[in-house]
Amino acid sequence: MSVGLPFYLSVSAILFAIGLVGVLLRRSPLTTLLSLEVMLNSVNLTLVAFSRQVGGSDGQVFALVVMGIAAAEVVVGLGLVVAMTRREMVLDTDELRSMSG
Amino acid sequence: MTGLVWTALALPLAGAVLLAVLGTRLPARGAGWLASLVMLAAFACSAIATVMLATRPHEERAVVQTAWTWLTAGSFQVGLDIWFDELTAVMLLVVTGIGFLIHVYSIGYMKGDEQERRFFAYLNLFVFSMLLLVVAGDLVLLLAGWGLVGLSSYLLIGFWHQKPSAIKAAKKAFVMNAIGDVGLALGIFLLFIELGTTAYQGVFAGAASLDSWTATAAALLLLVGALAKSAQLPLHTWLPDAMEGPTPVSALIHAATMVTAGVYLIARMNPLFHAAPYALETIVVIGVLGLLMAGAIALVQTDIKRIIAFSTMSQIAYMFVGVGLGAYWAGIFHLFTHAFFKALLFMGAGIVIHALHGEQDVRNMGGLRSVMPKTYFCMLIGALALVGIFPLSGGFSKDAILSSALEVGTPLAWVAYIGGLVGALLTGIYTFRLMFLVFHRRMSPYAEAVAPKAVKHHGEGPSSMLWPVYILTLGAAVVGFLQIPGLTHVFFDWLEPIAPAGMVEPSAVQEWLTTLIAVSIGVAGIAIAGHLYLRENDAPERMRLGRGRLIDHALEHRLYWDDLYEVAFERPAQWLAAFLRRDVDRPVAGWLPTDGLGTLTAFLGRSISVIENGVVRSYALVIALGVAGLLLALLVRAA
Amino acid sequence: MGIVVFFLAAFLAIVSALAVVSQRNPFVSALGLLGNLVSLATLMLLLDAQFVAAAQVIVYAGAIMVMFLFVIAYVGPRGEIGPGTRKPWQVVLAVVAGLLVVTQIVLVVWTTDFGKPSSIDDAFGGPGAVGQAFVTDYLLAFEGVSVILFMAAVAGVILGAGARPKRLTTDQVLAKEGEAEARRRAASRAAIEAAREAEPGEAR
Repeated sequence: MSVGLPFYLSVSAILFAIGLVGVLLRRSPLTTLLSLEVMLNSVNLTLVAFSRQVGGSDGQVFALVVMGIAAAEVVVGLGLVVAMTRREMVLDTDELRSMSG
Repeated sequence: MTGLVWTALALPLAGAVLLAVLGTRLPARGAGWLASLVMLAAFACSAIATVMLATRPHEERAVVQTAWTWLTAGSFQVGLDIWFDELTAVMLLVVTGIGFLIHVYSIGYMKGDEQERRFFAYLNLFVFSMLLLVVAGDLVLLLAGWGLVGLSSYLLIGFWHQKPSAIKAAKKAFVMNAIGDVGLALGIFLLFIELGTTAYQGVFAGAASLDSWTATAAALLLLVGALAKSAQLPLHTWLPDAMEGPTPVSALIHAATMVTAGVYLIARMNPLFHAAPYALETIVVIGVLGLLMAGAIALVQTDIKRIIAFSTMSQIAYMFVGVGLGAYWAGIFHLFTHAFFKALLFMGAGIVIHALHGEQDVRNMGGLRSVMPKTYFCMLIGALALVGIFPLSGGFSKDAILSSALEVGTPLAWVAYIGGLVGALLTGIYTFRLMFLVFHRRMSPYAEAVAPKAVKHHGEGPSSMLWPVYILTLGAAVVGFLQIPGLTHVFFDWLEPIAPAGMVEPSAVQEWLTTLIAVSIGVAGIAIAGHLYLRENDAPERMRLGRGRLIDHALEHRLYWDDLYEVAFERPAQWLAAFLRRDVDRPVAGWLPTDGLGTLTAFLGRSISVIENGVVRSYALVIALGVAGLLLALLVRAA
Repeated sequence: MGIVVFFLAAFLAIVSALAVVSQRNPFVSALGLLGNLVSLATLMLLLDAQFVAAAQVIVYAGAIMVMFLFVIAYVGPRGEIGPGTRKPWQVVLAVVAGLLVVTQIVLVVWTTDFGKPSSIDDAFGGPGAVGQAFVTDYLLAFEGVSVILFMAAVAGVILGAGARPKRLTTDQVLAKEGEAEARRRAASRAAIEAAREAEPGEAR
């Protein structure tokens, strides 16, 4: 039995779902960001797996782009966390609801 | 060369963006100078590009360049094309050149207004839109420019948004133009269905192969757009109201550039109109009716800017007659000269209004000749050019249109010829009625109280307002020499290649004959105006056209077009709305615990807004469920 | 050999991902993410994507994780929050959404015939091949990412380095957190009372 594309994609789907549940259930912005990273990584795995299947570099390029975007997102997210801390705010995403309609 | 055109197009946009971004970080004075510098640079680019175009051999002059393809749907592609040829060059020069002068003029005119920066940002935005309209190489891009021009016109008419009348006028202009936009868009759709392309090249090449019904339908739809933008019958009612905007706006948009876009469109699309002779005849008919009607209405108006506005409408109607007769060059030539003398008249009127602290009613003016001699002289040149007195510019171009009618020689052309001559008489009367009421006669008490003091303190105006007027005066006097019948042929030769099917060109004899007749008629008009309005003992109430009260009433109410639209569209719409509310909404939605559909909607909105709780996690949950649902739907469909 | 490595790495990846989302201490979560990253890099190596795997370790583990750890250390114990008002339906819906996504993807993946993987040459997945694609076909994306990263850097500086607001005393901080806590309590009390009123049979 050789490990084919479906295996990788399944692992990726499971990781994605775990990250998703984390984002949906955790209230700490830090954990939310970490869960988001799990989701982004799972997508990277999918991209790389398809890249191997197709035999082109395109998927890998996309994975690298995703990493770059993830880095940017983390910078902003963590910047917000730091700013919240400095303003002595409670680190709880459910408390940040002043944008409600 | 195309690089220069791109630069000319990009500069005003950059100026608008810069002004918007810098905002109050820029001193108020700086905004005007920045905007004017941008315009000067754009004009320089256009001028150099035009010279480069002129050095090319004739057959290489139409240049198309695609920056990139920005819309692709199947075989349908729209590129960001520019099309640079002789006609584009003329329009570019007019828009950037006159535009530059008006920008400089605005520096003086808008001084002290709190919102100067916003004004100049809008003005630059307008120039960008207009340039996009004229350099577009694709109908879709033209439509984009067309719409943007309408938008910036809306913004500028409503610039003084604290005035309800300005807001109303802006809205009216926008709605009227929207009707035209719809017509233009439908025309473009039709052309696309028939020809499969909207690029000029394809349309021009395919126009001849269209059957005459399709060509006529497409041409008429495009004409609807042209009528609305150029304020021609029956979509003209917005133009006089548009005078609520600042005077430089009236000069730039509602005299020199935007309202001539319709003429440009017809001249640009001449291969299509050539295939649709009925559409061309329609244009002539509308033009003749329009020039007579607008000229007659201008006789009784009392607002200085509205008189000039109706005059603009009348002159554009001449241009329509010209392009409708197939003398595209004559229409564009009149567009070109008109840009000079009409901008001049508007700017002169602006100086007068400035000196009178915003007074626009000609009955409160009078006798300003002695107080403002420079303005008087410049406006006199403009007025003579407008009437078409030899050898000022307006005469050459108007007579070119009329003599083209002689050359065509069909019954309709004869009607156009006679109509045009009657129009020349009206032009003479209303123009010099304006001049006599403003500059001659005895000063009105109001003018006497205000004007001498203002002029003593500030002179006739700041030099930033006077110099553009001087330059335009020079232009209005001499640009007609580009095309002296039998002597110079610059304009005709330059524009000849834009019409593959050829253009009507009258002979020198026809032109000189027409000039003779038209100038005599114009002088007669001036004489009538003098007879009616120069006598000192006339009370202001007598400043009427004739004795018939009915005619006066009709003309003062602009031949009831506004009332017609109110009865035909506004009232039924209001009635329908009231009916729907009373007899449909209440009974149908009445059983709900709410009062009518409006409240029902509000109730539903409030109920749904509960999920809008501001908690990021619940938003994410909705997204996740949505993704899962979408996947499920895809799976079900696939299975 | 490949099979063993795959299953080992996949198992580790899933376990560490679970650790990321389930641990209350963000420090542990971050360490879980580290394990997750390394396992994923292993999987990518199995897929002949050496360069991406290396970038994964270097960029994520080397840069992003360090940033995370710094911030977690900066925030300190305030990064942890106790059990709050997580409602049961939220948990149910979240798990349902997650399970739906997994089952659907797995279903599709295992019922689709992807065919054999294409054959690849030695250069595949190396820095040469990826770099080639990056600066030719994907130049715009490349530039776009660099612009976004730059903007993010600026945003980070502005967010993090703004003038420090007036520092609250410990009492005030506690009071603030107490307020939040009290709000939560009040909300749950209201919910409980609403539920009781809905069942009038229940005696007080």
